[in-house]
Amino acid sequence: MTGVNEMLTFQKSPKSPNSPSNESEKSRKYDRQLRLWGEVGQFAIENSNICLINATALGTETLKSLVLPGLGSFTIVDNTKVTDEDIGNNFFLDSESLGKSRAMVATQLLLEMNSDVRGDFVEESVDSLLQANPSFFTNFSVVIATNVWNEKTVCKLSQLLWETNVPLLICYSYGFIGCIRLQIAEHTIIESHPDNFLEDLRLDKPFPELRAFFESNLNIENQTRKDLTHTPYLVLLFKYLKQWQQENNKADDCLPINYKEKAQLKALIKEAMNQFKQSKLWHSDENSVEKELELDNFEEAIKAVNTVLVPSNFIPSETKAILEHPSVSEVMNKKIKNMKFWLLVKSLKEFLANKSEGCLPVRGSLPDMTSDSDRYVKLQKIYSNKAKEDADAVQACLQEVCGTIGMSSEIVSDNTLKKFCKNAHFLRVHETSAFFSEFANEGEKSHHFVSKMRELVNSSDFNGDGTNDFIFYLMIRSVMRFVTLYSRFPGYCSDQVESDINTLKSCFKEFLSDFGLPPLSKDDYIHEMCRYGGCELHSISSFLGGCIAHEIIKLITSQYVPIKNTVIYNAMNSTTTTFDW
Amino acid sequence: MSIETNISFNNLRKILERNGPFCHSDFECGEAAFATLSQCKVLIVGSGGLGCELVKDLALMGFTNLHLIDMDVIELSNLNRQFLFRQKDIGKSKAEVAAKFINERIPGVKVTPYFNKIQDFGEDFYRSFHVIVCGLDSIVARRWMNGMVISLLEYEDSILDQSSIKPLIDGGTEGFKGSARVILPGITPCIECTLDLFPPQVNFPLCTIANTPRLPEHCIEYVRILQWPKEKPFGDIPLDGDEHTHVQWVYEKALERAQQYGIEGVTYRLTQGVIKHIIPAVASTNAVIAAACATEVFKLATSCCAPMNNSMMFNDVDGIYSHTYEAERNENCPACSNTPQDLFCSIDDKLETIINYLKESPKYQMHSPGITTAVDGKNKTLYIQSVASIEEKTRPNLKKTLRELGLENGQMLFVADVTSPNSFIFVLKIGNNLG
Amino acid sequence: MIKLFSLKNQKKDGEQGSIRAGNPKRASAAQLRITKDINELTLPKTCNIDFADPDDLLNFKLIISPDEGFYKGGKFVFSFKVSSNYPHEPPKVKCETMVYHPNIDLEGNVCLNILREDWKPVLTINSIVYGLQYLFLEPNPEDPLNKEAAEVLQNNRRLFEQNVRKAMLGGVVGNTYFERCLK
Repeated sequence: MTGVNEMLTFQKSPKSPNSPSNESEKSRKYDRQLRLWGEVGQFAIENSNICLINATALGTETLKSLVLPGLGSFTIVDNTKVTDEDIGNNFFLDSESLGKSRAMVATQLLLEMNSDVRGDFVEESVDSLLQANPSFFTNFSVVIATNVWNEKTVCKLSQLLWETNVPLLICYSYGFIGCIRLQIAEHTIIESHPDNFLEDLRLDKPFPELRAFFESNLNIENQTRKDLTHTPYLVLLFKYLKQWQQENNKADDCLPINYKEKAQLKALIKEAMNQFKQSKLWHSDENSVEKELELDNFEEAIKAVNTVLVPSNFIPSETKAILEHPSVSEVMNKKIKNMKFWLLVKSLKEFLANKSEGCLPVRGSLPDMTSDSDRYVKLQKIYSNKAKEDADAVQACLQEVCGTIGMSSEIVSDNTLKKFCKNAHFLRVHETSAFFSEFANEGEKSHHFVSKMRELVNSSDFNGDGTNDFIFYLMIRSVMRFVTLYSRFPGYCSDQVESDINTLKSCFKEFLSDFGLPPLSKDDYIHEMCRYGGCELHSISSFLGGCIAHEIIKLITSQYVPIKNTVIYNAMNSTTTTFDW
Repeated sequence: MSIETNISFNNLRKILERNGPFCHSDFECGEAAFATLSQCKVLIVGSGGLGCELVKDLALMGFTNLHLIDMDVIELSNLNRQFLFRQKDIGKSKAEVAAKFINERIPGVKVTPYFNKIQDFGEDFYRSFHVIVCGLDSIVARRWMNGMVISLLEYEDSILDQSSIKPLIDGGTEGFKGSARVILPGITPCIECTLDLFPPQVNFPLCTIANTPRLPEHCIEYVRILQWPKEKPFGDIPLDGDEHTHVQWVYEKALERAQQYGIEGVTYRLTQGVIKHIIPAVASTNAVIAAACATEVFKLATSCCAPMNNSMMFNDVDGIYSHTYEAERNENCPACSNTPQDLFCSIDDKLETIINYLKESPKYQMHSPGITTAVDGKNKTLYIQSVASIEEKTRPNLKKTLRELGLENGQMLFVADVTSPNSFIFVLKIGNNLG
Repeated sequence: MIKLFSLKNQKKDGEQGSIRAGNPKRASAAQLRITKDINELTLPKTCNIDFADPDDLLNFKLIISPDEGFYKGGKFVFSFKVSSNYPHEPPKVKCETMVYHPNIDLEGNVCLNILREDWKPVLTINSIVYGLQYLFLEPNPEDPLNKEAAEVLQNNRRLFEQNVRKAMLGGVVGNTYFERCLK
């Protein structure tokens, strides 16, 4: 694969017996994605239902990347009839569909791709549904709104779904520009699948079994060449860590923290390595060259000084914030959203306070390293047994917590608890602001949003030669204002482009003044928006559709980390920029 | 039939028939810009996850003359992302099924399929396209296409003839990561310039596999590399990762070995993954990367925007992250750094004379040049001094004339010498005095 | 910006239609690279390289005849297969001579780091030749492929030396018959 300089890692599937006899056809069909989000993630996808507002190219491209991996079901809300223009940019409207219900044709052509998926459509406008039957929208796992430009409609929808805790994605594909806004009240993630992370190997405070293993292996001076070259680097690291502590009068659980101390430890290991190479020379023949020891494990130990020596009680800031989240105490008083997650966090907090001296449960995984089979497998067992022991302790805390509030701890499955403990370093709680709070005249205006806007408008790269893509957020908002006022896109007809430039300019000015911002001279951008005239280009929508589909998969599987909270795609420069307000 | 009569491209017309402040200075808006879309002949290489998306994207971006090449047939595990294929298509040609689907769905578009290897075609074929887009998972195939577009470059007096440039747009994905790049051969970095960026294949040490396994992968590789060729459970045939009985055998043996060592985690899925070097793949990433590539083709064809300069990485594991950057050319790139040099000579010059010229000419001052060429598509070694067995067999060539060696005007000679980190390419200009 | 629709292009467009198979006039990157590697081979005096077909630089044999160490006087043949993905991928190397050696098994698999896990595109055929030559001077019993041979080497060097001799002369060591490979 081009450019992506990452080693290929094979994901191990969950511990279910995986012989082909019970490997269904479905599992073979979805093989390439099961290697990423596993059977549990797949199960979540197959049991979710998505609502799409408007079967635009952007909408159907999004659903395409959800129907293919086996989404449970979708419902399209759209009251328009298929036009020529629709057929020109939407793959899921064929030439025979002209004049037919856009929702119906799109549903049919999407379903044709995958018989595992169910689909439905409602030929009503989002406005009339919001009016007549607002609870309709609250039954979905996620709602996606495309091409909803009217400010009032967007605010109403955003408010409704905010209050009912339904994740909402508001998306626009406009000329060469795209915009994705996620609104979600609280989303908890156990498996965030970080690309880079620190190991959890407890060298500063080895638990008794680990200490015993290290101590029984420390005497490497008397080992055979073979055993020495196959001593896992963890043993070496522990050995020279002890030596470093003694030589520098450090406490027994002290780790080198700064560059200087780490360099000292590295030098110790290097020196030992060179001594071994000297002392264990071996002459294959009286006259022939001396065969040097290949001490890859010492080299690995030196490298690991930077990555593996993490204090046992290290808690990443995200996890720390989660432990202090108000929901942790609230979960003891009432039923709240993501109950299971917060019960687990509460139990984890108890575990930290009473059972582990402030150390998160041992993760239980061991990085690969040069070793003989025996010692590596032993080490692996030691860590995984300790992980199991810690998980049991968290389980006991959970029982206690649940007991206090009169619940059965069985609401959290064993698997979830184990996964939670294994990922305790990587937990995430994802919250965004409400979209309607970005609208000045809708009462509660988010202060955070306003100050962020001011900050961006005043930033140097916004006013310098190269304008940052924040301008396109402002443009999208100005177009929304225009559409709300005039019920059409600026520059939709070729003979209106010139006159609409002025009108859009005043929309922009008005929008800025709503936020107490001075007028800005961005005429080129205004012109560009009018040039687009509301056109939707297929490849821009397809790019965005892929992005949005994966955001939805993140939301329904509770794996990976969603956007926070607005992404602008600029296809002229092939860039994406994320804004959080 | 003209496309306008069937579907409206009003969306595209706004972009192509109106000028804007951010348009490239070469852009000439109007009907002509729109018409280039139907004149532009695009080759899509690969009809898999990216290829299916690309052919759809380009068709809906107004391109009507599309060509699709893929040697593979459809498999069940393609269906989670290769959206032009259905259960009933399993075993059929990917290129043919995809072309048929698009031709039926989008009137006015003509996709021509080739159920072929890329190597089945020569320069004339590839020269006939205006742009080439690659959606490949194989590095070999990418490098081959790269070599092809570079060989299409023409030079006059060592100056690149711009009209001989075939832009190559290359996309790649792996799980939630992907990349897209625009290659203008001879101008921007090519695939070989940045070969280091491709992740190396994972190869475990043989002695670890044989004696000190630690990971489930070690156990599977043991069976695949050492046990299979020794035990030949299904006769003397290569292991086939698509043959269930083969994978099952490897799986069971690997499980046995893993149990011996107390190693956990050997599963059927992992076994197949290791045997076939399976790269995880999802619909969404393919959609994103293919769309990014299609947008670049659109920019190049219409000149409406400057093309991406020149690479983008994408990753949506944590939020949506992308990085667009200018990769640099490798000045010692074996593929694109050396512009072919003209070598003026007579058809009656002996090879020896040519070699002496390369050694004695103040411009080259070579030490012991080794010379190869290609005749009728086959490699031919003309002379290499350093290896005795080749020297012996090619020594008679020294006394032969270019005519006797079957060399023609315009023939390319590849010359390696210790004095340069790179091979030279010479083009014979016959009918001249040596120089 | 680069123009895709110049006159010249249009003209050539007309000529198309003839779809003719064949390689590009330029050699592949792998071919160029191997030519360079081969031209710059500096073989140690104990090594010889043989090309059955001088036009095919991707397939050849290396013959090592050690002049010191345990394997002095032997003659060992290795086959090299260079793929079209060279140098992204290392060549495939097999030992065609049956040899009693801790790092070469009886099927001819060779355990040499630069042939697998430590291969890098900057390495050359020359690097592999030297690596293989070194294996005969300094067999490595710590990371063996032939475990029995490795154990003997570690515990009883005299016996190991005898076994190597016996195998090279053509004889049975352990349960395996080795063909004579003395020069």
